Amino acid sequence: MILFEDVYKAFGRNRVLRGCTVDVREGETLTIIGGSGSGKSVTLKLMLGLLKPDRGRILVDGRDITEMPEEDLSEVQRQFSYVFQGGALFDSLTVGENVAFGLEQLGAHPPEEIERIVKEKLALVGLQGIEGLKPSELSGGMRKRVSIARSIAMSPKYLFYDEPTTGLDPIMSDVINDLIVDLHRKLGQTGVVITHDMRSAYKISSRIAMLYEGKIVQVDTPEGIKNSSDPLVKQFVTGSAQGPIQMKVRAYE
Amino acid sequence: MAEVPLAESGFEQRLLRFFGGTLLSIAEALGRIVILMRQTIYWLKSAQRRAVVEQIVAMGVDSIPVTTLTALFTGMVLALQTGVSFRRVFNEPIYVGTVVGLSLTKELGPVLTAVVIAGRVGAAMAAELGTMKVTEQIDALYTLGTNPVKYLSVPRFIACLFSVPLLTLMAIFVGIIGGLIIAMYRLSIPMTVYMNEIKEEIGWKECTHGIIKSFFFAAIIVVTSCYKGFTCEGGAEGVGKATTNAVVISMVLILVMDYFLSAILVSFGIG
Repeated sequence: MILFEDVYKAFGRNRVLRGCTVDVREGETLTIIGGSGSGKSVTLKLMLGLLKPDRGRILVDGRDITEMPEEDLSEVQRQFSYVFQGGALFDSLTVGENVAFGLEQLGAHPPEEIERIVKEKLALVGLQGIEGLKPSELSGGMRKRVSIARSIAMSPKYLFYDEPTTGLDPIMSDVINDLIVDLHRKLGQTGVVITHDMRSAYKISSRIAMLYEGKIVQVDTPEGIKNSSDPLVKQFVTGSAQGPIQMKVRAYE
Repeated sequence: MAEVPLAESGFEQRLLRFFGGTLLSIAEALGRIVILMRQTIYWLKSAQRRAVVEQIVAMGVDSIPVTTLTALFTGMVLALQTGVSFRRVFNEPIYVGTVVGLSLTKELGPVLTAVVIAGRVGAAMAAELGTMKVTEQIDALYTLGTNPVKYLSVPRFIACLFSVPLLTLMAIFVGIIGGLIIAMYRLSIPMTVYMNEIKEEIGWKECTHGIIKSFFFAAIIVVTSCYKGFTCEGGAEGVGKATTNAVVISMVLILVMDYFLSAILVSFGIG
């Protein structure tokens, strides 16, 4: 379980999170929605320990990662895997080497075992026989799927997805959504997804949390979010140009 | 206690902000460089041999042609200028071997090799790490349980500290050969005269002087370039800036450190 407790984070004068509180329950897929620049990626990076909060606590299975020494944090981070928005595949390595990377660094598996795992995970994301290709030879959807394969190869307890469908066509987006649901069913990992794609959020989530102005304004099931009476949530999920969020945008202008 | 008067005019405030801000950024950068250096040294023991060998090939072996060419022509031009100038003053091209040998061993060998490596290897290092940073590959390393300093910085650090002194020795040798070619065929100095001057003037102290410097220069190049790569921000433009800064800062630090290292080594009687 991950508990995000009254977290504040600012970059210079830009106060991104202002008392954000949310929990990620064991075995669920929690999706955090919110507009561009609302702090979704920052929230995810804070959960992963890649950033440190200015205030507040982040508990992973009861251990506070905000004040943890680097070696203990590395140990906690071994339970995490992150699917980056752009894939973040290592350009200098082949697809097979990318998927095998984490396992090789761990040094706990013999080469034949790693090769078997790489083949198995690539098959799980529907990409057999591309181990020898370089990331530059792949399409956007394939890069995302290789990135997912690389993440699940480590058998993490927590799987984080940063905008998994951004930049993909609607059909490929749905393929990725199905893949996330399928992997969750087969592997039973706890997932945290950030997205602003509502179709994707409804399909893959156990619960959805809406982030606005550095705070979580509502956490509910996909059905609860769909029928929310909160004007902020309502406007966001319907994608309406009229409403309180737009007024805020006008105020900035 | 007397109160410190606050700056009243806008100009004073801007001035204070400018100098204060600059000082703070320099202090922050120096602190981060020290942390990077400390982390690199901490992880030295867990360096992966394959990665170190790959880096030695990329930094050292692949730099041999450009270093050789630079050293050869430096030795040639040094011999030519010394010979022509001394002929004008003393009516004879004397001390060509001494000047070429001492200049190359103590100064030009280490400095020119370091400058060439800063341009070739430092730029590539900053650009590669910078690109990895802006495309989130460095963050990906963290999430795959790998410390980026251990995986990226340590092999480069070892390879650079191994390659640069060896390249320096090679540059000194090639430069002396370049000087010999000009001494023999352009200045008509017998080979034995040139080589005797070299043998008389260059001992272990002179060689140690050059090699110690090259170790420091190697550390400057690798730490500056890795730091600039790891702290790169802002897409392609950021990578370009990080690369340029890595090369410029490395070169300036090499030239500044050269003076202080020379002064320290000479005061210890080394060279």
